[in-house]
Amino acid sequence: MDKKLDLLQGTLDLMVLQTLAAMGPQHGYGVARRIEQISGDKIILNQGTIYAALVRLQQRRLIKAEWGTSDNNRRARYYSLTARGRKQLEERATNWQRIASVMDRIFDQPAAEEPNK
Amino acid sequence: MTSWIYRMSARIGALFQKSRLDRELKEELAAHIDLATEENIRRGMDPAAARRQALREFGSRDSAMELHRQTRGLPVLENFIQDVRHAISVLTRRPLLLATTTLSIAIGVGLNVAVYSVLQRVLFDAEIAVGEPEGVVNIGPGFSYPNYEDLRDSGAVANLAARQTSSLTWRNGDATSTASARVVSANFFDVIGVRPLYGEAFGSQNMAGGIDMAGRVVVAYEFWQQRLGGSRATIGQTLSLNGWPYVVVGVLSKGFYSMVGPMVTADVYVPISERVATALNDCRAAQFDLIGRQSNAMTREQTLAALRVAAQRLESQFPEANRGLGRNLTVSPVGAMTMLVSPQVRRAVLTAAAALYLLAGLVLLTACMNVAGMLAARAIERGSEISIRMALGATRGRIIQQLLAESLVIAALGCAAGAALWIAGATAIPNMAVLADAGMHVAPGPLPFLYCLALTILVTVCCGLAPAVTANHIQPGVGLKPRQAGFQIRRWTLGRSLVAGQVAVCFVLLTGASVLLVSLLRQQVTDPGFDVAHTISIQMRLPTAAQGPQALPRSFTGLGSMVETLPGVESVTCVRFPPLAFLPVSARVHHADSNRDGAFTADLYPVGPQYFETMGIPLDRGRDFNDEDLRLASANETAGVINRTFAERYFRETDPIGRRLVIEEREIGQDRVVRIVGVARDSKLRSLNEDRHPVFYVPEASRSLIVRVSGGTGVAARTLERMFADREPGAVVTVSPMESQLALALRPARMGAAVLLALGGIGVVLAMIGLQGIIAYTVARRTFEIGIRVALGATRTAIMRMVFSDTFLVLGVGSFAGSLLSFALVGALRPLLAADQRLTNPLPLLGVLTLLLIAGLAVSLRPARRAAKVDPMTALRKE
Repeated sequence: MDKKLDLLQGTLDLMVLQTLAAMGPQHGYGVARRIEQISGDKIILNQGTIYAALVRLQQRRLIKAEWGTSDNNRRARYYSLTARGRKQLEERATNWQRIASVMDRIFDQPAAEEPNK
Repeated sequence: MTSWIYRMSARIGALFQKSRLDRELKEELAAHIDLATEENIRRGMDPAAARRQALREFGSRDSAMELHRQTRGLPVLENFIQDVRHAISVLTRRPLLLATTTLSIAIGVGLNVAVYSVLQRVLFDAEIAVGEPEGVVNIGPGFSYPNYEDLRDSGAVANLAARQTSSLTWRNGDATSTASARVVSANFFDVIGVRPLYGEAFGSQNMAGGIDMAGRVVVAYEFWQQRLGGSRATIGQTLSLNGWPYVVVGVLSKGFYSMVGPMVTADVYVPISERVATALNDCRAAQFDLIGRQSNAMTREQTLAALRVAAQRLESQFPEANRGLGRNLTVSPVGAMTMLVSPQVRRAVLTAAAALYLLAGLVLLTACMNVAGMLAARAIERGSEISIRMALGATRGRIIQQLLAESLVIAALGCAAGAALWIAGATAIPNMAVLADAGMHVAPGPLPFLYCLALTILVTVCCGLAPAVTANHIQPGVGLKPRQAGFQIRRWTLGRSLVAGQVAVCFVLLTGASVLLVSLLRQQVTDPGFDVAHTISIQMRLPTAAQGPQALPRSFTGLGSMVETLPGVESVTCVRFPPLAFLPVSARVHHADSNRDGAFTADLYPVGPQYFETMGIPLDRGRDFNDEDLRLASANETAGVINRTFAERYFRETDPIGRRLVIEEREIGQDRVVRIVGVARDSKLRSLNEDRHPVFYVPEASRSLIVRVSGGTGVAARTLERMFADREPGAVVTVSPMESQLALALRPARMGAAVLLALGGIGVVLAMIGLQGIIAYTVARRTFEIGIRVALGATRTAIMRMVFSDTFLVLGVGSFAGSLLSFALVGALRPLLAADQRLTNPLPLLGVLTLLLIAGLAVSLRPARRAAKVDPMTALRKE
């Protein structure tokens, strides 16, 4: 089923997983903000959509959630990777990199000259 | 796969924690905005701008929540649950609507389930819970005991059992009653593969305790529970059956029963022996049904072929007794109409079943139409609401889904209530006095749950279709505009067709009932042709073990002379069946001087000496039967009496006395020559409404007596009853004056009329509820129009006439359709009617029409009054 996810959705999920792996437990706002920052604000994320991704990842047991307190004493829900999520991230990251490098090579080919008519 | 299951369960789980999850999500989103605002403030924005910025970056909170919900739950199911919840809250706000619709459906469904479970028992469940039923076959048409033994030992089938339906006397303390019984061969339970719940089946020959095989009895679960106390200690106890002691060796499990007649299950199972069966050595007494277990890998055809070979061997050994044994042999799977072996009986039962189903279906249909009408009216009422919702983006499918949810709620409630009605009925039915009098132990089947479920779906669709169609015509946004003046009202709407349909159905039911009532009235004044006031019928079932010198004689001669000595008794005779008991035996008869080709059919009625004198039937010519005729009854040539119709039809001008006739008796395989000694006046034999038909009386001794007394039959009946009880307490003797026999004969027609009347009554009430709804609704919609009419000078009477004309239109259309349909139904009632009753009698139709008109006027009186009171100024201002 995982393979059938459409690219954009799959991409967001992967970004969330990687963000959590890099930053450790994080609340929804933190994840959304981090993705925006890393992308140099190139991804225009409707921050609200992050929560659907978070619930989806929870259902797949890739991340887990706990209520915690933020630095300035605000109650918030903290998400963290599960062991399963870490494994999944590795697999998918490798896969992603392979696809990306193949795509790079394909686009690196010199354009053929226009054949004469 | 496991992760899929986990995800599904998480999604389903989310449905049940909706409010908690929503609360948490809200809190989480609020935290998100706060965190973002704080960060913006740190970056130097003023608080208000910081919050605006945070909100803008977040996007729509509603759509985020909706997306979240869709991801975590199951949107389709959630919508459905929401619809049902909405429907429940909408319906509970209209308790009257809810109650009426639920009640209508409950009545329809209850009736339907009742008919279904009864028919299931009668038609298909003749013998259930047979172990591995594939291998078990019924073998017909009927075999004598010696033939059974030979076929069993022939090895044509792996194991072969014989069974017979019987009724035994059961002496329990001081009371004696009958127990319906299966008289079976000892291997019966092995063949059908059934193990008792407690104890064992007949077991092996040398059973512990030394109880001999003929003295063992296995009892049915219901009998054990209801009549024997239902304790484990029953095993080993002794029952007195037919005067013999029987030891209970086993109790069957609840699921197993064996039908011995329509809706009658066997109470006890006893092994075949002289104590419970007769003529076991007679090769001609084809009295046992066989049931066999095929050898593995044999098809039914192969079994049939093997049995035929064995049967043909028997035929060649005993050609006299076994003519046609192999040819007539049949093999059929168990389960389907086992006991309805005769095609006539099967056809009659199937016709009755179809008619019952049709009636129950019609009532359910009326109920559905009623509910559909009410829901459709509501859909129109809510038209503006619906059109606004459509304008806001709800799809038609979604709207229709919501309307269907309403009909689903009603259907589910109605079906549950209907099932409850049936359960209540099913517990009450077995205790009904009518059935107990008729000697029927009725065991209705368990509630057919799947059938109820199917009905619920059917009812949902039937009820929801009309409102859905109505809603489908609604245009989005129309409700936003000011309402158009009510001039576009169509004269004929879907709602009206539905009410007219209901009127048609109850018209049919009531016409049927009135036709039966007319027939009943006619039958009540019909002269049965014999003396009812001075005759008493006595049925007896004597134990095979007669005890003591006071025991009743076993022969007619003995019984007859015993009864004759009583004071007040004028004469005694006997009959094979009492008259008017719907038990005919017909035979092919031909003149002795012609051959078989000239044969005709006549009813054969075996009676005792002095039959005509006792019954008070005058003889046109010749003489009554006497004792000498009875003594010679089994001789090659016997005496016979024919009725007047027989004489007129087959002897015309000539004198039948002294002429000889040949009765072809297929059962015995031997023809019988009869010399006519008398011609009797016609009398009713099978039923009161039978046609004149030829009847042939022959002498035969039996223990079913008819006694003629000089005084009143009531006192004499009690005297006789006491005398029999004193003489032999172990016998079951029923003494009933012929008048009650007459009432018994009227019972089918009476019950039919009662059922049709009750159904028709229910139908009328339902239809009138629908009619009032539709008329009141029309009046409400036409208030504006009525206001204009009144303003233009229409009188109150004219307005009321206008409303009533609506009523008449609906009633007229319904009645017209109903009268067409009722011709079809009345045809089906034919068997219950007198032969010469005209089916096209307009009187019942007119009566029903009048009744419907009066009821229709009564229910439309209030809406009509309301219409007449419309004040033109108020009405016009409102629009």
